[in-house]
Amino acid sequence: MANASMKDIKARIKSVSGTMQITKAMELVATSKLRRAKERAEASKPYLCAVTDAMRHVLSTSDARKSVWAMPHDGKRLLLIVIAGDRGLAGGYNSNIFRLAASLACGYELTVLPVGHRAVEYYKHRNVPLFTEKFSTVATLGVGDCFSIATLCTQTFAEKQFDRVAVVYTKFASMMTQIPSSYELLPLPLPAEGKEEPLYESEDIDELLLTLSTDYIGGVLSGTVAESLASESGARRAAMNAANKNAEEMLDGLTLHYNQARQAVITQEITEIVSGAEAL
Amino acid sequence: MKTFSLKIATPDGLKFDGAAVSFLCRTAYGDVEILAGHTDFIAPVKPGTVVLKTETETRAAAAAGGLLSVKKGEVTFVPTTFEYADEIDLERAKAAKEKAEAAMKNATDARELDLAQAKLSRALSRISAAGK
Repeated sequence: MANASMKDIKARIKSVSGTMQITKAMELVATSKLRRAKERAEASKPYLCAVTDAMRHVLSTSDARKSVWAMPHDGKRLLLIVIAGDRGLAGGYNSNIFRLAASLACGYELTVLPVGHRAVEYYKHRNVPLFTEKFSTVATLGVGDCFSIATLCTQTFAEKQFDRVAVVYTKFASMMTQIPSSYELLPLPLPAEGKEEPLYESEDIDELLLTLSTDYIGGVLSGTVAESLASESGARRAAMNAANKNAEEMLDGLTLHYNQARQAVITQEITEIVSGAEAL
Repeated sequence: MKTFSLKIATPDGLKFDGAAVSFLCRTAYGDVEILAGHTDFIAPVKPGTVVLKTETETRAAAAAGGLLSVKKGEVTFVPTTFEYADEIDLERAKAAKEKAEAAMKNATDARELDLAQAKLSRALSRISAAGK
């Protein structure tokens, strides 16, 4: 680098600062998106808690164990809902999710319901069967879409198309840490023991559980989508922040080299003039 | 009046969290009105009008889907959608009703018909709640 000409260094400086402008803008956008996504994630929490509570209560009654939603199947067909991002440049956000998905699917016959363009591309490229591509844009996925997915899941599970349904998403632990995690959706996760008294007419258990499991899955999905969006923005913000710092360091180094090169040119010119004058 | 603690949570956030005097909603077994001291109870909820009375006011709302549960005097209502009567966009609900009716006429299989019917009942519950 020390021998590079002033013109080369100037071009490098220009390109690095151009990239830095982009990463800076992306960091700002991610920060503002993060705030909104965090609010949405927090708003959906009480609902998820209430539904999970009701679910645990109903499932702890003994006849719930015999329902179609809670009985484990023998087969090895897994429907995995993978919630990734629509775009890259978010550090390890997408690849971490795919790694977790791969470890969950180990030993299972995998079908994927991708949410987010990155997930669609990734699994298409690897020839994994996709359940549907209707929900590919994660940024515009609303609560209604989450409930459509939930209905699809309960239907196909009841028709025995799949033996296990799970979702992988990224948990938003803090602004700096996002952890890829998963939820088992179907068969419904049973609590350890059943001792609660039933609070409903016992013949209604299947209808109750159908409503409840659809609501539960829909609630979990809308919560996880909201958290994933927050995590994506968080991961992107962190990645862009790091990129900015790198760019700044590079610019510092390059400016130093540029000044050195300029000084070297000046010194050389003076030497040439002086030696020229001496020769006269 | 005796009150009980009521929580209404939707995926979009908490809609109500506080003391209520009575709470009426349409469950799968029919309209149920919860008062203070109700026994433990759980029921799926159908699209319909909800009437919520607190010590100071009475509010109507349209709700669909979800679950009503009473546990140790604590009432939790978790609908998929919940809108207070004054928040309902009546024009939109009417448009949705017409669209759902058209879809029902053109439905080719049972699943489409089910979907259209669910949409219609949600639109109808919104329209009737808005009038209250």
